[in-house]
Amino acid sequence: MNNKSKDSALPDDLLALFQGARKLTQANLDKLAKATEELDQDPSFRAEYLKGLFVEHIQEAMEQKGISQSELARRWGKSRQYLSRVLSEDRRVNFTIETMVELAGLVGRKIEVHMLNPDENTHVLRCKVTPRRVSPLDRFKDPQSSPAPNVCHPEFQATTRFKGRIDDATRLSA
Amino acid sequence: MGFELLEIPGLKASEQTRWKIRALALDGRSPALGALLEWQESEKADFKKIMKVLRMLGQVPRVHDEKKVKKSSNPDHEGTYEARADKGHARLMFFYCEEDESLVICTNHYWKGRGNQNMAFKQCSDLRTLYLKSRP
Repeated sequence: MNNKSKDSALPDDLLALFQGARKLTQANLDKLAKATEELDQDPSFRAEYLKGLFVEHIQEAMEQKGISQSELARRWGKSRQYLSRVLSEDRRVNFTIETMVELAGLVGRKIEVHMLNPDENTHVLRCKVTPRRVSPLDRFKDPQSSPAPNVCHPEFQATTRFKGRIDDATRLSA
Repeated sequence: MGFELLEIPGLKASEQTRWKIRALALDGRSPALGALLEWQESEKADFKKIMKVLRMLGQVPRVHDEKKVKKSSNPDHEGTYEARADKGHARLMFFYCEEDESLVICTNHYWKGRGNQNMAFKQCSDLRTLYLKSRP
């Protein structure tokens, strides 16, 4: 490292790096926040981002389960070259919902699609789901009080919708 | 040392479920945020590509696609990475900090074709060392 400046423990080159950076103002930060949030209004950006995220999740699952590309291609019934194009988001590949559902299933995952309002987010909680069975006869006695059969108890919903932001980012539990 | 960690404006918590993404700052100045501001103003295509990578970074253990994230192959630059604008020029350097809050910390940047990748990795590596030492 270079000589340290007298006034700081930071080497001169790194001090210059920070001193040469733009002074951040609230107006600048607000402008950056707005530009970042507006990216979601671009359908092609959002689609590319979701495709990229999907591919990364597939590769994460492959690593966790010890599935090679050759093995996944074999299970899928496609060539390794085709799978490689999918995993590199080649534009020649058609990313249909069917493709995504098939691939997810082959690596032990599932896909869910949620339509949200712009100010909503989803957060996935991994927990046990206990279906509550309702006798068919009970429904006919009082349809208002009895939920549909096999509905998950609200306390165990696997996906939570919420509005606004979480102040503290939450890690998914393993 | 006086380092601060700043949020990346506009990145949602739901996009940071695995790693919190932060920018390293000193006295209110952050090379990483400064670069993002500049790219948002004058290199919009690269800005979009880098933001796509930052969103993905926060949600997976590691980004596999080397067109998006590349780890330095130089053993002297241990633990340093660059987020890349795929088919673009913008590069944002970062490192992971697993010890406390699972952070991705963006440090500095360079512009492919104009900047020096080795120097950028070295600066990121030096900042990583200094930051990790400065933690209580």
